[in-house]
Amino acid sequence: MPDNTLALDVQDLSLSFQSRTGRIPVLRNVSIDIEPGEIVGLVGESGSGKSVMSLQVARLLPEDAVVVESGDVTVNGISTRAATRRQMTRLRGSEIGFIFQEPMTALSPTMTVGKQLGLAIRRHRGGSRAEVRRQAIAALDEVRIKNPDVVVDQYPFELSGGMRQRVVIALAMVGNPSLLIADEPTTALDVTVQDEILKLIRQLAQDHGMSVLFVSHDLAVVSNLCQRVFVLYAGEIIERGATRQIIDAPAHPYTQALVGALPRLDEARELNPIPGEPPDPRAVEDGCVFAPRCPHRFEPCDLKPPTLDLEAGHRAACWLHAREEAHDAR
Amino acid sequence: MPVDEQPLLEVENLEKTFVTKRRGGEHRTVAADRVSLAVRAGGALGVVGESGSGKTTLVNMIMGLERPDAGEIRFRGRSLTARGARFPYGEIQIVFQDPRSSLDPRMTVRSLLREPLTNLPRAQRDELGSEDKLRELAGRVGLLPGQLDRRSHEFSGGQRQRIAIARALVTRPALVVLDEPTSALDVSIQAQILNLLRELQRDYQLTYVFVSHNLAVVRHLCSEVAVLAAGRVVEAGSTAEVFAEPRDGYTKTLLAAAPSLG
Repeated sequence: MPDNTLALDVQDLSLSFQSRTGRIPVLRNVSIDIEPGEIVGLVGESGSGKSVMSLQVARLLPEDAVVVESGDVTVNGISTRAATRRQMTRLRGSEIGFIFQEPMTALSPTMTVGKQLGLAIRRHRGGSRAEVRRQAIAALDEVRIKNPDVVVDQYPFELSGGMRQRVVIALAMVGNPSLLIADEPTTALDVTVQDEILKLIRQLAQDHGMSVLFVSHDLAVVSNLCQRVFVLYAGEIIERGATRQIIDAPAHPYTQALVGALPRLDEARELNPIPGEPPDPRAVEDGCVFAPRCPHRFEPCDLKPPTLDLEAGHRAACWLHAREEAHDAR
Repeated sequence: MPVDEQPLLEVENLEKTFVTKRRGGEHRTVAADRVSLAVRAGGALGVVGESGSGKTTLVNMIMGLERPDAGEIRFRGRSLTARGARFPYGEIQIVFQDPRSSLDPRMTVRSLLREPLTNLPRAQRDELGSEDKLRELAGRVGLLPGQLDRRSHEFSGGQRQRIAIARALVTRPALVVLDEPTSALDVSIQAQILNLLRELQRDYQLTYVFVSHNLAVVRHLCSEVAVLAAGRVVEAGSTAEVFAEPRDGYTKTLLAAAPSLG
């Protein structure tokens, strides 16, 4: 396989939910690329489609409810659209690892940590009972769990939230995935524990050359962890760029508002909230999805804005920048 | 001490230990260990701490839902914890984290707003619960008059939190305890609610006790802060000073771990 294969390549993905009253568009023309070993953030608020996007990478959405209108998701060179169910099963776990917000829902409450890890280890590598146990303990050790030989025989309810999330990460790492999808993995945790988990994810990515798609509503968390950020609003990527570009020079009014709405630790400055609420996916307007809440709205916003390159890697879908371009050209 | 300098709420040497019986003996959890705090009228005190720090127990004791083992809580100089003390219910109100669980989804906004008035004397109840007053309050938190007849399940999370805030203000309290009021909300909605809380504090001369794990939010809203860990106040003072130069080791760890855009 050539070295330049992307860890994740979402190309122009449009996806709808099938409902009794018709199709509800959830993602529109989403493109996301992640280089091998890169940590990329996908930022969006409730209902933006960020979890749908992350689940679709592993085709974990119920197949009879989802219509892929266009595009494809390619993981480490393997198309998930063309893959059979059997191929998908192999892909999940060996290429894609998953961690979620609430570790308790990812773990079985009735099995010890060692037994759950053992199931995964046996599936991937097999081995004798003693060998599987030894590997389970090693897996716990790698996610920096103290006393792994004790924890291996404990049940999830005996562990703290942070420890449980470490166990879930250990489970996700069993297949040595090339891509880890982390959907709000620290939202339910205390800040000091969150900090430890973020450091662990960074360390694992580095040690294994693993890529990470970090899905979160929290721009502050994402900015501390990720090299690049994609901003999702109402099912569309409205801006993408290097983390510093997004935080220091946000180009789309929504991203600007998101940055302006975040209280800071160093000063109690005025917050500039975005008025209104995100649109109902059943009633998204034809033009710019953010226009109804946008302070800069002008005539062209009734039409879909083009996605423009602002500087290397920094792109935004907004008529304000198209106007500048048009003006400069004249 | 001159009357106007007396704190509105004083918490002094509060102690609370929970004892759970287990096989092989008792397990003791110290939820409050000589906790002392004070908030002056019109001030905003942030209480920060992580899970298990004793935040919730402190809130419950302030709200009269839990009795301290020792220590005293005074409101306007009068003890709330003395034997036979009556809780000054219209004067102290609370807003919880999740309006989905704190509001009955089947009740209309109007009846939700009137409910806290039930225990007040008749005359006060009629005055504060009048249609004019309810419309004014609804408008003040950003609801439309027509929405008074809607049920709370029809609203988004941010709007429900506006309803919960209006419900807390309907008795015209002096002190409002805000227990993680924006933790369940999206960032853009959180900013709307934080701005609203600031305006309401100014317009109604409210005093806040703001409990949160989110340090940036506390920095934004509160002039004073107390850091709780394992039932103890490990550091307290002006928010600007504590955040700029934390002295306690735990406060330092907490601030270093807090994600920020910087």
